[in-house]
Amino acid sequence: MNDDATSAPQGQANSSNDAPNLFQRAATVFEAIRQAPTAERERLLENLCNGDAALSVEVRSLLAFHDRPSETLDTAILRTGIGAVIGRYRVTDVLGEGGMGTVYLAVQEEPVRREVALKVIKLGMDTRQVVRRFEAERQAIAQMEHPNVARVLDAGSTSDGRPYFVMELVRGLPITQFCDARHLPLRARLRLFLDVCAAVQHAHQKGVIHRDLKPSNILVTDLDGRPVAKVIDFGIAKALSRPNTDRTFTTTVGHAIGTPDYMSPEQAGGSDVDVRSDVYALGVILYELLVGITPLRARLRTGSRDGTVPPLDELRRRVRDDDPLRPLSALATVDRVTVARERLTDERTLVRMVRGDLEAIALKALALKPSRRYATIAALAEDLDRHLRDEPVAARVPSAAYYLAKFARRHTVSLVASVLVAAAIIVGLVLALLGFETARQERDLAVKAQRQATLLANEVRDELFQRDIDRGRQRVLEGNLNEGRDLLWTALLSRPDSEQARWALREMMWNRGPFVGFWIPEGVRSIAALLDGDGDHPYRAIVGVESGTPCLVDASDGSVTPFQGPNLDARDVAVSPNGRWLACGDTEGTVTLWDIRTLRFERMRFAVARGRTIVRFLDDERLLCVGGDGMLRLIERDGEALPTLLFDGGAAATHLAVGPTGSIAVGYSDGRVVLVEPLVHGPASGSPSVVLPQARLVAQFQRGIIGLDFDPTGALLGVASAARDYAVYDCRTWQSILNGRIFPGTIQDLRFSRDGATLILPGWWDTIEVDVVSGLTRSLAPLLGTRVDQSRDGRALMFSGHSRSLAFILMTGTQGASEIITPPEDLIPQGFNLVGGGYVATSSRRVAAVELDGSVRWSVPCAATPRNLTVSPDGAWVAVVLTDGTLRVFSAADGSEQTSATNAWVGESGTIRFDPRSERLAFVTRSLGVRLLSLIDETNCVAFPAGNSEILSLEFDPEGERLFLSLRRGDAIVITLANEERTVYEGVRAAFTADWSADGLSVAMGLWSGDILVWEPRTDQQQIARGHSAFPSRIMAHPTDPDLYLTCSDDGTVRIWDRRMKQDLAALTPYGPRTAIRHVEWTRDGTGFYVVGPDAAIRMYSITAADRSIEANRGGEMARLATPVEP
Amino acid sequence: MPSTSDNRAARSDAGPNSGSESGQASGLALPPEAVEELRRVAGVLLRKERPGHTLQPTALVHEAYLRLGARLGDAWRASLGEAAFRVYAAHAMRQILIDHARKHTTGKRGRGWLRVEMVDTAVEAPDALELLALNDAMEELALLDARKARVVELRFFGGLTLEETAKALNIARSTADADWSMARAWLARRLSSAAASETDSKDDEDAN
Repeated sequence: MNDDATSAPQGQANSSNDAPNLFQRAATVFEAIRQAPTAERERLLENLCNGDAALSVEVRSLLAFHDRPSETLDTAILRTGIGAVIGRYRVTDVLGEGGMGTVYLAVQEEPVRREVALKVIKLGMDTRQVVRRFEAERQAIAQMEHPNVARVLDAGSTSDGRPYFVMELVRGLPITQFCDARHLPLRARLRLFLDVCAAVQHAHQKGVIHRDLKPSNILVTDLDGRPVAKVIDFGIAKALSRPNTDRTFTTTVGHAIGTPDYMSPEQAGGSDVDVRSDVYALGVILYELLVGITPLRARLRTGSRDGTVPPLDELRRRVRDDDPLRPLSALATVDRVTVARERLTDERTLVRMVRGDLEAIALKALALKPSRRYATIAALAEDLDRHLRDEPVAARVPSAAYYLAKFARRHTVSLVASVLVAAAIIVGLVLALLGFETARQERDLAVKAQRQATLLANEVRDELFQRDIDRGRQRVLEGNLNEGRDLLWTALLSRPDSEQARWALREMMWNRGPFVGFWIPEGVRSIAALLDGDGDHPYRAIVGVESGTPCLVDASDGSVTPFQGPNLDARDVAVSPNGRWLACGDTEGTVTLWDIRTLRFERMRFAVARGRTIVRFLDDERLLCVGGDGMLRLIERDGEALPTLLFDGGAAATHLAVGPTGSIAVGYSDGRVVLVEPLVHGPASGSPSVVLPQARLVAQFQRGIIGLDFDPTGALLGVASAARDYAVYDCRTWQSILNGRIFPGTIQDLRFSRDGATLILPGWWDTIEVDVVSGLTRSLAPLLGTRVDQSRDGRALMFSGHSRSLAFILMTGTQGASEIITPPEDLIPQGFNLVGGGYVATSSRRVAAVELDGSVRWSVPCAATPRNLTVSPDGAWVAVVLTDGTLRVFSAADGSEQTSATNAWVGESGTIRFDPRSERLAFVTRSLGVRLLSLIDETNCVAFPAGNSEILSLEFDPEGERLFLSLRRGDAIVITLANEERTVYEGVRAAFTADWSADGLSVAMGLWSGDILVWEPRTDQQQIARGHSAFPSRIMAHPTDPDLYLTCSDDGTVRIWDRRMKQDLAALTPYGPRTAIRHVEWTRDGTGFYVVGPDAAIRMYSITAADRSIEANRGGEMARLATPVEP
Repeated sequence: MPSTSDNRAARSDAGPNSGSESGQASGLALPPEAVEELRRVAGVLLRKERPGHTLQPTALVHEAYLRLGARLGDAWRASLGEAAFRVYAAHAMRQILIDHARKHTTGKRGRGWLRVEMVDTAVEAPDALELLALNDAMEELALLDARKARVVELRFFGGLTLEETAKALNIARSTADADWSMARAWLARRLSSAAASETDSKDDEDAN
């Protein structure tokens, strides 16, 4: 008081004098009071100020600001953090900053060392209250145990008095960002969203309301390619709330969070919060997942003219009072093309998918009045689940037409199959109306418990499914392929439509295989061409770039090197035959040329075409382009001459292919395929060549052409259209030799493989490979591809995704040494798995054991030509039948002769076999009986007649107790050796090759018809395991896996197939089509197999990397084998 | 306690490495290379290229220190520990950021204040105008109590923890805490009144 009395009256001039004084006194009082509870402050203030009004006002004012957060001051320019120790945790990095504070990565050392997320709340919150409220809810939070809930582990206050929370560390992207970045389709988004619902529902059951659900609190991580959502911050919003004044809470949180987007109307209005507030917030997130914008923002965009954002109070009022915009109307406020693309679809389809059910569900969750929303998260989830199963959803206003539509969708097949469509509709209508009544009654009756039971059942189902998938993957990673495959199969069978299971199975096939996949950076469109590499960089891809220069992507490490040059919007790229030049066509008819060696821009030709321009090299010096005007033009790469017009197609061109003979095929948007053959007349006198093109219509499709390619010889042209159909034409007659249609999915491109044996059709669903000869199709990879390219050496395939910005390179081999083993001159490998490695091979006059390195272990001359040969299962013996009927048995170790016999039948290769214990040898005698020769006791020799027909093959069962015989007459017989009891299967129609499954339950027989028949002698059940293909010349069951078989066929194909799958797990044509394969055999442990081709060379493959890309594996040294090899 | 003597004590006990509290001296104590490095760090911050943890400011300063160590040699590092460096850095950063803000806000005062940021993942770097206002307020504060202003500088521009701040200024931690709390409340009030007057003047302009 006395200070004031002396200095205050001087007025303005006093600031240098009085102000410090007041400041210092205020500081003293402030310091004494600031940490006191609110209730005591007033009393302390009075005491300390001692009637000094100015001081009291000053301190009161400072205290007010002390209690309030300050946007500016609470965000230090250089934040504290790294290295700091907070409680039991040491901060190691900053994970992110939110409205409420900063989230750090921290390490907990005791009692267990683990990484955690540590969220330090901004100053301005009452720490003790926050921690106390957290403690109050801690019990409930501790009870939460859910895979989609991140656990809150601890809470406390920092040394400078800020509250902090410790949470399970989740590294992920906010759900909306994740979905957009990964271009998750709508259904996948809904599934992910259902996981979130399950997490929130779980918390609700434990009595915890989240109160602050928003995308940044729902983090999605990629767990082995599977998106997993985790809801974070449970219990934190509640702890930060101020219980007495909910309005303050919403203001504070709303202010601090900075986004009212996910705030429910009751939160905005300061009313009570219950589970339905979380329903609302999830509704907003659902809305955003559907249409890419929150309801509030959509509303603001329609309302505001200048794009300014109203103040927070106004925003809160709008949240409280404005009905949300329909999602479809919200779509009008966003960039629909991008939004659709991010959902892997087009605008029209997106609208169709959102309209109706999903819109109704989102709007019901977003009702302004809590009572009109879903009462529980479970109800919301259940409705979404119904939508996914095409059942009527509760959110829709019921109408007969609606139920009929639903009925029709669920029963599409039966409706379509019915001849009387009208009758079916009437029946359907009746049923639907009945169904509608029932459904409504059911719904009325349905109690909450029932809903939860359903949800629980779904959860259990999901959990089982997931567990199978996870364990299956784990087994595969551990190298236990059989068990892994069983688990994955179980999962797939329980969810036949599961993409995840498909992925997992495929992944298993690719596992440890030569498969490289990577995301190319954002902004890079994957319109790509694959280059053959040099020694250091086996394969490199060129990808086109939207508003940028093209990039070179190295398949070995995914590194991206941009070309130097002007920016352009590349829509098509082509590489010259010599691999030196790159041409790009853009959307406006401009063609640019680049030098691949120097990565530099070479030259640019403006407006040589119109619209989206496709480029192809005719040869190294000339290139072709065609665009939206359909004008096919020839450009000299190096010259200044104007482009030569070759042909005017009269419609927008969509595809262009150049054959090896210079034929050009152009596909148009109206479905025409035109062949243009520029007849090049030699230069008369050094003048440029004269081009006299001839054009003819060679094919007409219903819809636009989206894929065109000549086969490597130029004899065939493959065409694919937007109607999902494809055809292969003979270029002499222009008759189609092959037609087909893809379902489901679409075709995005068409390419012949480098060997011309197959067509590769990348598509939305997966990439299909079609055998040109047989027309058989199989899924090559579950990859969404828009372009595919195969390297010149045939060893690498590249898929490029469209908007997924995803490029996969599938290595079917590597540069460098081939692991093909060539046996010593004139020896042909006949059997493998000898003791100590190596194989046995024959020539016309000798039998030899050869090491894998080519050295001959032993060689025994023979009086006659060795014909049929077999190696004992333990690898110790080699038995051979010579053309003179002599049977000789050698020791595999040193070639010493163990025993011999005469009168052996010189028949089919499968007529001589050792028993599983390698103690006896069975062979067919000239008298068409079977003799059993004991190797241990030479005297013990059994013979018995088989029947009066030639024996084509004989096989011991895995126990060595039964012998399978197949007769040329058409029967199959299983003889129990102990008592000669026979089981006969009639009408086999000649099985030249057969084998018992590893479990001894069934025999697979390769029939002359090309079918493979699996017969179970005990039950006499049989099934065709594989439909017609070429005649299988050898079948060999996997040594341990009873379902896995290795087959080689007369069409030159080696297949690994699963008898349950009725489909190839892998198929390869190592020597090209229609080339007979001499021998296939599993390695002893079944992890790989040997193939001997017409050239007698051995190719070794590892089963873990099946399909076309099979890995050769020798002596621990990994190398890769390729298809095909030059004949 | 008599506040004036306390104030004097702070002046004399500012610590061997932090130079005098007037600030300029500590700025001069850094070699030009160091200022250049810090300018780079500030540039990164001002370009707002700092989402997530890849460009964490503290880490940037740490990196700057390491780079300088590599360039200027171990002797330099031995003469100036990282903690001391951060004390200098705090002052240098303040200068650099304020200079930059001045350069970029000429004639722009009064605009861009009322903005509700709807993005909730990243906190915006302080607005240039806010920085200038804060700088003005800190200068006023320095006239009232230089040590408190110094604490703010170290905490806000240098990112030092309370402990580090207390050590740098050779004061007790509780004193640093008290200084910080008081200065923070005072500055927050000063800034809010500055903001209010800015808004008023803007409204006036609009009315005209």
